Amino acid sequence: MASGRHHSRTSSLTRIDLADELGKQLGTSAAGKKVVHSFFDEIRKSLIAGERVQIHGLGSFRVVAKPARKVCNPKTGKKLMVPDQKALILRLSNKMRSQIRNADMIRPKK
Amino acid sequence: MNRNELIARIVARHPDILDRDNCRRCIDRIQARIVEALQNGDRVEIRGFGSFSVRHYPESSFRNPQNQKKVTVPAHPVLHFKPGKVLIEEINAGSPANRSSG
Repeated sequence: MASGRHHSRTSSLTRIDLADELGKQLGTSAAGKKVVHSFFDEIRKSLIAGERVQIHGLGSFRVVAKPARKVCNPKTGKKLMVPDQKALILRLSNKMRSQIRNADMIRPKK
Repeated sequence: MNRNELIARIVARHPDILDRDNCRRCIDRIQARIVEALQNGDRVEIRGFGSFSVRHYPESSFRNPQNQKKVTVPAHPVLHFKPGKVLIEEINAGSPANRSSG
């Protein structure tokens, strides 16, 4: 089902592309799909458990707490309370940051 | 969790498909493909996890108030990661959402 998919219209890399890629290495695309799923699922589970996830060569995912704060609706002047929230941030590894920074191909698409 | 622990957990889930070495190569491929795509100016969108995209910061200049020297920061790309809606909800709830897919 997924094997014939091409990206002439959209330019997003998705799970399917990664599964195809791994399928070449593992023999079947079904195996590729499982491994790609597990890769992101294990990171996800770890983050939900509050762990920091550090992937060498990519960066580290970290959950940070954002305390509750008051905001004003500028239109009505009403004060609102935004409750405590958690955010997920990715801090890139030095390697990946320089790979992005030094890519000549990256140009604004418009 | 670091990369080695991640590899161990993936191998534990699929002992029939891969071993540690194989898994390491697979993860290398995943990371390489993500970088390739971003370097090409493409987005990476992983449903249920998040998306990676490159944002472009235009050249900007500042004056150092201490010595009046002008500092110019050249235009540069920066990676932006936006967590998926479901994932950020799960993180806030502290538990996985009820979803049919395991």
